[in-house]
Amino acid sequence: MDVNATVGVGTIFRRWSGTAWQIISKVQSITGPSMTRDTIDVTSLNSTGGYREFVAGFRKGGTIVLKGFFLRDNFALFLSDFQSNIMQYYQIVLPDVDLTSMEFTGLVTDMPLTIPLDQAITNDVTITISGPVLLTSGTVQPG
Amino acid sequence: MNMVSEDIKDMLVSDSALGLIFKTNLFIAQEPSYSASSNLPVDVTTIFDTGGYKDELCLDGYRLNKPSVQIRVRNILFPVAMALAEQIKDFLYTQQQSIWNGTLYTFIVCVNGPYLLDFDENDNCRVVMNFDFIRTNIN
Repeated sequence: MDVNATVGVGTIFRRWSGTAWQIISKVQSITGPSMTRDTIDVTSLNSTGGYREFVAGFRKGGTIVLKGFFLRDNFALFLSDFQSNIMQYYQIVLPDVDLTSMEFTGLVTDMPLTIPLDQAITNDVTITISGPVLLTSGTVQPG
Repeated sequence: MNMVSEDIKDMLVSDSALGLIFKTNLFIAQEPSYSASSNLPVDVTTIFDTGGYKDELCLDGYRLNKPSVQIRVRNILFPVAMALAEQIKDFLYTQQQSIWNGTLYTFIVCVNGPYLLDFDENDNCRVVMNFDFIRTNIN
């Protein structure tokens, strides 16, 4: 078990091409998966103690936001995913001792460019996750 | 990756219109003192590395380096010093997206100057300009 904090550098974001994992390079940060779940309020006249009561509703995988430098190849890849209605497989592999990974399917839903005058051009890609996020660990397979 | 001053020196030497020759009238880090007995000219340009900003890192280790330099132009005459400084500034602006010694200079900006810094012990004027760079190793 890793008892030390893990720094983000070394994290890998990958996309399944159909035959192999493709590493997405020059990513500066990853935010997500922003998993949430709905709750259903079942508070009734029989509820006691002055507390509302809830039961479980649906879960949402949420979104993943990749912030990275603009690279034409990355942009073209995510643009093709954006234009496709087919779910794609993506994976985040953390650089901790367990090589924790999170795998999910999703759709690219947002991919704006930011073009500042005096900084590098960046491309932020949002992937909306469909279904669960699978948590695994182990050796990173070759990309 | 070289010190940025090394690459800037190579840039400046490459433009013959500037008339700068390394170790003759162009120096790095140390401005030579003028004395009548030395062979060095009064009119010299010196490049100083002045630190810069935090690198921008990517998760895969790719980085953008953000150094800065100060260029100091010494001349007997203030208008001549200013004119050469402006000429250097104009030239460096033409070097956006250029590659020097395996380093891609993606952005070059003059932060301030040229302006009068001071007069040295021989009453030569010294004008300075400060530049910021964004660069990355392409090897």
